[in-house]
Order: sequence, then structure tokens, then C-alpha cells
Amino acid sequence: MASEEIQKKVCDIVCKQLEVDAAKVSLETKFAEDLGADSLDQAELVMEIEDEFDINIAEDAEGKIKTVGDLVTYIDAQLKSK
Amino acid sequence: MLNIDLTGKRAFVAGIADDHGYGWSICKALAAAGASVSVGTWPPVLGLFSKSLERDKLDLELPGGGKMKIEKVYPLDAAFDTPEDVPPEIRDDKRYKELTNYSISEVAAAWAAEHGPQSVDILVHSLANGPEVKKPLLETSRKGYLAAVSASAYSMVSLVQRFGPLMRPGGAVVSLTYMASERVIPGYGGGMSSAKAALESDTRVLAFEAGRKYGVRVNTISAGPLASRAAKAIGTIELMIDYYKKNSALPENNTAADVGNTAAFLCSALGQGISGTTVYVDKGYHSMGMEPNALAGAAQ
Ligand SMILES: NC(=O)c1ccc[n+]([C@@H]2O[C@H](COP(=O)([O-])OP(=O)(O)OC[C@H]3O[C@@H](n4cnc5c(N)ncnc54)[C@H](O)[C@@H]3O)[C@@H](O)[C@H]2O)c1
Repeated sequence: MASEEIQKKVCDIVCKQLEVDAAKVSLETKFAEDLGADSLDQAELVMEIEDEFDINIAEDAEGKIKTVGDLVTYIDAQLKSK
Repeated sequence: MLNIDLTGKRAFVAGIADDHGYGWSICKALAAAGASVSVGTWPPVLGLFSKSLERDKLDLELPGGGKMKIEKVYPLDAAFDTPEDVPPEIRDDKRYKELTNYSISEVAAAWAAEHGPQSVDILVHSLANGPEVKKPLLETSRKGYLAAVSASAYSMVSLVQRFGPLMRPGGAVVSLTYMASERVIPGYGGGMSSAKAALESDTRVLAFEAGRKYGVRVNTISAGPLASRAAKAIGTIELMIDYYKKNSALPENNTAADVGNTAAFLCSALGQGISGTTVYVDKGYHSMGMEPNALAGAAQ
């Protein structure tokens, strides 16, 4: 999957899950600070992402993923190592 | 052979949101013994739990083979007894606003409407919440302290008040407690130690009152540390687990299954003579008075 396609899908899921406008979401957007995602939002997001891309997001990685860009990079790496 | 047989029994387990905690292992043990199991789930985590259930992400595998079926998931906020108790900021919160009937009396009423009177055999309280748990008691606010006691101890009293009339004689109530109620456990703050002390005392009083009124038994299990979601939130659970393993009578890790099996036993006919008790399921940690290795150097 091309990185742009991942980005688009991630953006859609983030907007839907966190009820935010797509215009507010870029690669630099921070989940907690910019979108107000609490730990429950993040857990739900992880589940949606895992489902969509059929990957597993390791628990220790969750803490390091702070921005939309981090998430896209992580998914990209996971898909490549499949 | 002596068997734990809960065939035909109906259980309500309050405090389920994932498959890591003690409540889940209790559900499994009850189901493995033949009981039908419904659960109560805290509204903030209901979406997450329902999704993982729908998507088959939970460990439903039963010890004897087969898969557990959860009859029904009820939204339940055990900090509220009636809908009038729910403050507007919670009612309008994004995780609550789509939900109704999550106060304890409403859940009991919904249950009665579906199953009729005398339709509960087993009531399990496996929930706790202390917003200031990370603060020492010396720094705990009145609000934090009362919130801990309300969500973690009064919730049990209220559940027995509302579900007691629906219970069949011979039924049993079990809750989960922790030894921080009677011994000092540094780090278990925010009034959580106080809440557990209340829970254990209430267990004795409820055993008497509900025993006489409804013919049911009430016990609590004092469990060793487990890396559940709630425990992880405290932040030091892995260290606790290590410490317990080193210093318990049996140098082994606590397992959720041990607690589940004990709960099933207590709720079964085999436990008929047991009420008003705190049962320790902690590999014997509670009975130790000294670190086993403290005198290791001097022993030879
Ligand atoms: N994990 C341990 O080390 C340990 C040790 C001894 C006792 N316990 C006790 O075991 C019980 C279960 O906890 P656990 O550690 O298995 O964690 P857990 O996270 O599986 O269970 C706690 C549950 O309580 C629910 N909850 C919190 N506030 C609620 C409310 N107001 N209304 C309804 N539900 C609410 C949470 O959603 C969660 O599902 C608790 O009483 C806990 O104090 C745990």
C-alpha cells in the first residue's frame, strides 16, 4: 500500500473516531494535544486501525505514537514487514 | 467425583471491560461450571468492550474446552443508584449521551423485566475506581476519598440492595478486595485502602442482613496483584507482582484463574457453609511476617 493511501485511510478513521474535521488533520497533528484524544479514544483508535490494516500495534509502540505521521510511519513499517 | 456444578444458574458480573481482569476470569469459571453469564460494563469503556466482543478479539476459550457466551452486556455505572443521581456533565458526556438505564436501580429493573423475579443466583462485584489512587492518603482530597469509597464500596452495598430481591435463596454474592484494607501497602492511595476496608466490613454485615432477608451468602476474595487494566493505571503493578512472587508462601505468580475458580467454588453448593468471609487468594502472601530472604546471609 502506498504511503499516501495509508495516510488517507488513517485520516478518515481519525476524523470519524474523534469526531473532527478533516481540515484539522495533517501529519503533524498530535492526537492528545491537538485533537483532545484521551487514553480511551486512543485505545479505540488502535482497535480501528488494527482492523482496517490487519496489523497488530504493540503496546509499547502505542506510547511512542504521538502524531498522525507517527501512526502512518508505524503502519507503513508493519505492512512492509508482513 | 466432587464437582462444581452451576448448571441452570444465572450470574450477573459487574465490572467487565476486557479479558485481562479478575472479573473476566470469574465469568469464565462460572461459565465453565455451566452458569449463564451476563455482565455490567462501565459506559466509558462500553464501546471498546462491545467492539472487541463483536470482532472476536477476546479470550473466550473455556478451560474444559468450548467457548464462553456472554448472554448480555448491560451498561452500568455503579457510582449511581438512580438516574437522578447522574450529574448533567456525565449525562451529556460523549460516552454516556447515547445510553440510558445505566444506574444500578435501572439495571436491576431491566434485569427483572427480562428475567422475572427470583432470577439471579450469582452476583459478582469486580469493580473499583479511585480517581486519586496515586496520591498518598496524606494528600488525598475529601472528594477523591469519597469518590473511591462510593465507586468501590458503596457500589457493592447498592448492588445487593437492588439485586438482592431478585436473588434466589441459596444464591451467592462475591466481590474482590485487596489486603491494603488491613495492612499498609505504599502506593495504594486515594482512599482506595479505606474503600477496601469498608468493602470487607460491609461483606460481613451484608452476609447477615441479606442472609436473613434473601437467604443468600456474601463473601469477598482478597486477591494478590494482577496486571489488569485497572492495576496498570496505578503504574507499579509489575514491581508488585515480582515482590509478591519473591515473598509469598508459594513463590509463584498469582493467576486470574485461581481467583475465578475460587469465586465459582464460593458460589456453588460446595461453598454453602461459607458467608461473611474474606478469602485470600494470593499464594499465601498475607500470612507472611517477614521477607523469606531477609535472614539468608545468617542462615549458614
Ligand atoms: N489487579 C489487582 O492487582 C487486584 C488485586 C486485588 C483486588 N483487585 C480488585 O479486583 C477488582 C477487579 O479489578 P481488576 O484489577 O481485575 O481490573 P479491571 O480493570 O479488570 O476491573 C475493574 C473494572 O471496574 C470498572 N469500573 C470502574 N468504575 C466503575 C463504575 N463506576 N461503574 C462500573 N464499573 C466501573 C472498570 O471499567 C473495569 O472494568 C477490583 O475490585 C480490584 O480492586 C485487583
